[in-house]
Amino acid sequence: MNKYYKLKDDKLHALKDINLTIEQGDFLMIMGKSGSGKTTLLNLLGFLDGFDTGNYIFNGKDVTTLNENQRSELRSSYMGFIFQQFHLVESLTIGQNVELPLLYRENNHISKKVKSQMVEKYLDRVGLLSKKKQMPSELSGGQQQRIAIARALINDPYVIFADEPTGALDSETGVDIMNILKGLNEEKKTIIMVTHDIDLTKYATKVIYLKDGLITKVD
Amino acid sequence: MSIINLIRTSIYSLKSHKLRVFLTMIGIIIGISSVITILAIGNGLKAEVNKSMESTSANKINVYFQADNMGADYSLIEPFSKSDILYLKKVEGVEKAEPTQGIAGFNFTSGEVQYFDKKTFVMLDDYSGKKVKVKYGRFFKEGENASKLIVLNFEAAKTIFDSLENAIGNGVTVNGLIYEVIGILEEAGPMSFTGNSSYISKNAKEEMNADNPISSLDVYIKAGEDKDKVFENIKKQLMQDHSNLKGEYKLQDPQAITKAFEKIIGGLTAFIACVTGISLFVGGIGVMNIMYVSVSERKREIGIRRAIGAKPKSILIQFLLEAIMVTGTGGLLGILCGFLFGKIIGAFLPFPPVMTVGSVIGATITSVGVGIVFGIIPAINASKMDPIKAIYK
Repeated sequence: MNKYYKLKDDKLHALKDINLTIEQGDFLMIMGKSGSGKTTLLNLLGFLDGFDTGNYIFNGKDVTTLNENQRSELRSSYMGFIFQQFHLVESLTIGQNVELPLLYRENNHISKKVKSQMVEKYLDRVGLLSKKKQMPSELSGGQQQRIAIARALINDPYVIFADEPTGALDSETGVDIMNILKGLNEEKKTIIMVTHDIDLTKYATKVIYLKDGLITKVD
Repeated sequence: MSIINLIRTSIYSLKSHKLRVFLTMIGIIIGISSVITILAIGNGLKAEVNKSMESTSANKINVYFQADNMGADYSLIEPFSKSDILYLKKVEGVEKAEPTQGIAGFNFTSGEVQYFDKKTFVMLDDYSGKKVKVKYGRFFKEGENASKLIVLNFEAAKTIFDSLENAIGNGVTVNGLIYEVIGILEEAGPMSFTGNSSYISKNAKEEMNADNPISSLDVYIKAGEDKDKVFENIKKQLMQDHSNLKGEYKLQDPQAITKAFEKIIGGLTAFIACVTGISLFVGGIGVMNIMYVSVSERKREIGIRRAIGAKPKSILIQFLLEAIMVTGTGGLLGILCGFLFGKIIGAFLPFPPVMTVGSVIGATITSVGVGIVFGIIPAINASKMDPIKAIYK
């Protein structure tokens, strides 16, 4: 696939002839310097952004030409997102943040009690059950990122997209987060992660290197 | 996303900006409460006019004569005579006819009431069929026609007597004849039709008016008869009896006057309510403004919600619901405030304001409508936001 960004009188070729296959259960890392197009690629794969030419086959279906509603549905059903800056909704409690993806799920008739149980299950999974009633601002960065992971997991997605999940954390906390992701990968969750930290590639099963929008190497 | 979840989401968001939400609401509260108050006062006034008119019989019409020559002296042309009263009783549909002196169906007789050196002018009316509230003494009993008794209105009694309690039983001179005061009415507002007259018996009144020419006739129509049809017959009869007159007998329906009054008050109320409604518009702009601020402040939140599966439609409904909740709650508080303002203003008015179910429903619908109208554009903007740009703003 190819992706261009419109500039004033020119266009920037952000992703050049990307040809990529990701298998279920992969822990794929996209490496590259800033401006290499790695986040753009992640966003394309997560239906957050569109591309200009090419095809995207997801889970056996051609999803090249989907509208916003269909993309939203696919994100809701199959994908979880983790961002560098955690991006929890500040006005909601930890519990409400984790519950959020459940509310947007299509045809959900989950009772309040079951929802609450699910929230607790995933909060427990990241070791922060006791923080359910607290606000995001009361938590440390590492804790917020773990909450974001719980939020990404609650819809039991096929694939988790992580955009430099350790980028805003100290190295020790970063290791914690990576261990959680590794654990998820061992449970056959596909993980696609963007990073520029070469040390983290040890967690990956597959690494692609991007430079100026081109894949230069696949490990 | 189910609507309950959307409502919950909107409530969570509003809760986190309580002060801002309340300040925005104030515009709506002021708008709705003023409209409610104005409508309550208007309805109260209408009800008061209606009540005053209730004392005039629904089956009574007033027949008067309009001469072709506008300057004609009615005491010379005598369009009605005592014999007409007897003839008209035989007209189909007529129960009885009574002579009146006065204009437009309101047969006022005035008189000067004197008690020693104090005197005042009063409107005098026949007591029969009147519903009035007596403060001191009593009102007339049915059939108390022969005696010279008077029930004074509050203002008149206050002017001529030092002590109202002791006024009962005293004699006052009315147009040169002595009457015994048997009662004093309650104080009445300026809008009251019945509370500002003094009452004497029908005979006494007729006696007082014996020398005056009959200016019109009060005709009582039998129940179930068509007023216009009966009037045509009356007109025919009168034209026959007074064939030498150049002019026309016309119909004055007191009920029609009440309706005209009501229409005018209704129109005025609606007009003032509309003018007051401008404050609602200003309140609506406030809501729109705050929704724009909210959308641009919460760009990232919108992006996150989109990333975790919210459809554009869910975002639109969420923001629209927030606007509707602000204006709807403001509307409900406005109705409550309007009700209280009405009560407070009512304490200074001669009639009680009336809050109708219609105005409450109308105010609720209007406030929700304001939320939709002024919230829709910011909500559409929020829903069309590109998730990438919203997250990495």
